[in-house]
Amino acid sequence: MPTLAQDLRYAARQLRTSPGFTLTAVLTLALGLGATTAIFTLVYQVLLRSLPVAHPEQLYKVGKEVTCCQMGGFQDDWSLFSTELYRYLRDHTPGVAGMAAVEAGTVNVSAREAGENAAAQPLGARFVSGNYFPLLGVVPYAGRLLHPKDDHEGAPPVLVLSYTLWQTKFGADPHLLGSTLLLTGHPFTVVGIAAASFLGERNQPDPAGLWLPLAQETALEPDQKINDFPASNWLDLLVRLPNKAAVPGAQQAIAGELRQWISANRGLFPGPDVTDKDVARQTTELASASGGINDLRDKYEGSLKLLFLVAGFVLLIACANLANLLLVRGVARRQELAVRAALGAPRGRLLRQMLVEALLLALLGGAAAIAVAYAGTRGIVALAMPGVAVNMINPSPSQPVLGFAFALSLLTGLLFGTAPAWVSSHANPVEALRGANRSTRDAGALGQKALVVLQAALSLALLSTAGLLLTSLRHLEHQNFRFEPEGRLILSVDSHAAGYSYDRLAGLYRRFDETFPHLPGIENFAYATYGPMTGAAWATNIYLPGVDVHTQDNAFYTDVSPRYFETVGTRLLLGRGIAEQDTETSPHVAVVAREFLKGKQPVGQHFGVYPNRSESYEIVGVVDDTKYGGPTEPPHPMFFAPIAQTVIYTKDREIANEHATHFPNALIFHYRGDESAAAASIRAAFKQIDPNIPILKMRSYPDQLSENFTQEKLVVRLTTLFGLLALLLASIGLYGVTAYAVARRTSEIGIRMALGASRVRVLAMIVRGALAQTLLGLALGLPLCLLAARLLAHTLYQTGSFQPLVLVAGALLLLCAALIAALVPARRAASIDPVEALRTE
Amino acid sequence: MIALKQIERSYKTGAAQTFVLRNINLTIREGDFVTVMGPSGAGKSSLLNVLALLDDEWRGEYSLDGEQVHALSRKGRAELARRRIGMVFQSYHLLDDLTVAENIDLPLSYKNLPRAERQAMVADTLDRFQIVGKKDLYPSQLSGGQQQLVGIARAVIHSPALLLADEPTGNLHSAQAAEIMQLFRTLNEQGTTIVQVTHSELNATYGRRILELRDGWLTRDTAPAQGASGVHAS
Ligand SMILES: Nc1ncnc2c1ncn2[C@@H]1O[C@H](COP(=O)(O)OP(=O)(O)OP(=O)(O)O)[C@@H](O)[C@H]1O
Ligand SMILES: [Mg+2]
Repeated sequence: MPTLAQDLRYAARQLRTSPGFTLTAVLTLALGLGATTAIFTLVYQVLLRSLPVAHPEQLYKVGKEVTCCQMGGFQDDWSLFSTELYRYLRDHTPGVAGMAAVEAGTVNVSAREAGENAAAQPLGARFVSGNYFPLLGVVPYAGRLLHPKDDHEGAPPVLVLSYTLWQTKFGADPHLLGSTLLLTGHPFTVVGIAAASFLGERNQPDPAGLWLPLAQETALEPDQKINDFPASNWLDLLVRLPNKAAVPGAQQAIAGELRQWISANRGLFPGPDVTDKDVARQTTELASASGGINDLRDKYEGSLKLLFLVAGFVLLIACANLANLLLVRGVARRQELAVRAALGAPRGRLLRQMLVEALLLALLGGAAAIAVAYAGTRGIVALAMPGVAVNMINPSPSQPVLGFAFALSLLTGLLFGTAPAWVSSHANPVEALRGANRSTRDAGALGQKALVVLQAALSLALLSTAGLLLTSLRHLEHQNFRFEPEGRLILSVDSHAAGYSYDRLAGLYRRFDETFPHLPGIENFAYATYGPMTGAAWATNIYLPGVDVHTQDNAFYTDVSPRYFETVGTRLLLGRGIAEQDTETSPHVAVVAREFLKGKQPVGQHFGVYPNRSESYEIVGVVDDTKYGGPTEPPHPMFFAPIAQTVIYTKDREIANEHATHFPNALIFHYRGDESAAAASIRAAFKQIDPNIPILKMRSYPDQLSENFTQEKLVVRLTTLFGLLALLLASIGLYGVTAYAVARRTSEIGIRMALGASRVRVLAMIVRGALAQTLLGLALGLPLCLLAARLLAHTLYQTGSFQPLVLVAGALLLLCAALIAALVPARRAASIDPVEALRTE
Repeated sequence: MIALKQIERSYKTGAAQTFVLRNINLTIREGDFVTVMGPSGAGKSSLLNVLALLDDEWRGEYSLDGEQVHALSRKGRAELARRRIGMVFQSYHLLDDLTVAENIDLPLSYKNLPRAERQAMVADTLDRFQIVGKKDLYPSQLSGGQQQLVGIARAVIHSPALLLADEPTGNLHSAQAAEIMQLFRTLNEQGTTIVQVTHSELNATYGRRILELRDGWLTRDTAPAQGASGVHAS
């Protein structure tokens, strides 16, 4: 009984004896499998991976939305909670094995080792409840983690560091443990370093690597004290439920307690009278958090699914190519197989032999694909998240990725190996032995042509998809944002992290105003809470005098310095902009965008942001609808208040909110001449003003703008790359089939030439045949393109799903590639020597 | 009609140069019926390929119908061959995917003739060779003799002045061979110049002149042995 080992040995020998074939096949597979495996690596890391904690499958997040960073008012479907609400839920929910809280956003702190002259470095920190680490079951790498008793007012300030942060920012200094770190001037003792694999519960780039007890928030952020405000929701809640059956009950219990708490604290909510109906509407649900709180999933899930599909199509095309190669080989080996069959080899045995060879080939391809996938994933991550230092996505092939590649290789081998094996093992041995190979018809030829047609159809679909996405991206990038990014620089700073309190801000503004406008080459200068298209957008309710508080509107807002609109290039439409005359003591004014109070004459109107404060601002001007939100969203109603003016409130939370908008996070410069010269002089001047304020980013505004499209660009690049890969593979396929047909038709061509066919005619005959297959593929690909466009329609920006130009361009590209692929064998056909051809007959 | 002067043909085999035609000098008049004989490997097919203008790599002088072939470009030679020459092969070389009628039409399809004219010529030829009933059959559905009949019909459809045949009866049994030879004789009597290669003395008797090749040399040039045609005639 011949064994599998024998089959394997024989297959290996077969592959060794035809290195050209083997190399082509393995390369094709490496590309197809590599593309798919690379995307799978990302899918795994972003969508499937579990948190490196004890029993991650038992973790649930309260609220299915992933949001940042804080909000007040009714959420209806709750996902963010205040500290007081957290404590209430934690202490009143029966049946859960614990509930922990973690800040949804991050705070920037400037960290310095006490007693050292080392420069302060800006770091991200996150406040967590004392039971955060025990609940997750994270173990320390060194020292200890936070305990519930660290999370009390008056407890000594302590912090825990992530292993990665300790390695990258503190040079793995062993003395750091137990030492004191100054965070924005406040001393904290480093009590521990978390396990190396644990980077926090959030799957996000550059995760915060400092963990502080919730109770320390009040001390570290005296201007915020968000921890003390029962109406400020800023925490994600995680619960552990060891028994899956208990989930619905726990969810109901938590939602019930939520309503109880709201009902008992109605005064915290806006509006004069919170009704029972309002309370009854509030709810929340439990969502699995086995993979942590997944920012990346939220952001990339759609793109990854699309790319996975596209990569799958590329693999399918690669499979078609291989099936073709094997068919050709099968035909060439028909004689050998016939002899074997005549000598008594059963058909099943021949079939198995061919299959083993295909599988071996697939596994070789799979091994090469892992290298391609590793390089590909690295490249994709670098493109997707430029400038990210600590990435949770690890491109190295992990066990699941290796398993995936292995399984996919086997599947691929079966897919491309079965049909050719069947065809060649079922050749009629009598005919093969008689050498009846004069017939120009054979079963394989039809299969080969069908595969080429399929490849052309799939390639066209991929190319047109890439074209559609590209068109959409063009429209997205070249839309009118209604401001002028050219010739502007934007500086992101965090004066809060440098220890500035609200009281010291006026002095900072003054130094800005005294310094920056006078720098050489600076035409205009302004600062604001944030600028257009920076990813920030603060929203608030709007209340108008005499208008029912229940019909409140919503608007974005930012505080700006004088000359702000000139500096960013937003057009003034009516009235005036924010100017030097708007001081601390002058009447409180605001400028609004056109969308604000749509349809009404706004100048002279009053409005406010709290129900009983509807006269806080008087509108003095109207500006164009510059975009501040997402690039695909329509412009939002918006108002601009002078950064020099502060509305006086009485409630602590209202005061804190008002003060928070006064920290200038964005400094915008309109410069003349050389960008790098301007940047250098700005940096130098900034050092003069305060060397301790960390510059988080400094970039040209066009760069800042284009950061809004990083993901779209990546998807377009990858889809285009995959489309071209498909085109290449399809061309190789067409080349192979045509070359094989020419070889098989040598004598026919010789006869035709002997009967008077000119060489040009022979060339045309071969090219025509190849193009006919391509055209058929185009015809079949067209509905596929339309279908793909339909599925994509909702992701396209101002791009209809029917783009004839894209289709025509894709078709032309495919035809050109087909022409080139066909010309090579066609030229060989045209140079056939008829004497030779007829002799070998 | 044909004049060959010092025709030489050689192949590079490794380092050596193997001559397969040596210093061939030959004239063939219009209306002649020439048989080329000689042992296997003597160069008969090679000579025929030169005459057919299929081969380009010989040296010497060749004039066909007053055209100096050696001075013509490849294209010019192909053009000349298309007009003046018909070819018949030992293994017929019919295209398996085409019907009898389509096979016969093949040489016409390479000339720029109107469709109607081509159809008329094909119909005429089918008629002349009495294969009208077989016009829609494929070569695999014909006997060897019938296939060769189609091969000859295809070779003469465009009324070539010169018909070249390389062992046209090599795959046929004697009765079929006699029929083909009779057809050649008729074509020759109607004015077609014929050069055939054969191993059969009997076939040679249908011709008017025998050439013998040995190792690439033209070693004999005579009329066929008397009486052979008599054998046939009886
Ligand atoms: N392509 C080639 N390369 C090398 N030698 C060749 C080639 N074609 C023909 N020959 C040689 O040329 C010589 C003459 O061949 P040719 O086919 O003309 O012989 P022939 O007289 O027709 O023989 P036969 O009666 O067997 O058909 C032979 O020795 C052959 O080996
Ligand atoms: Mg010969």
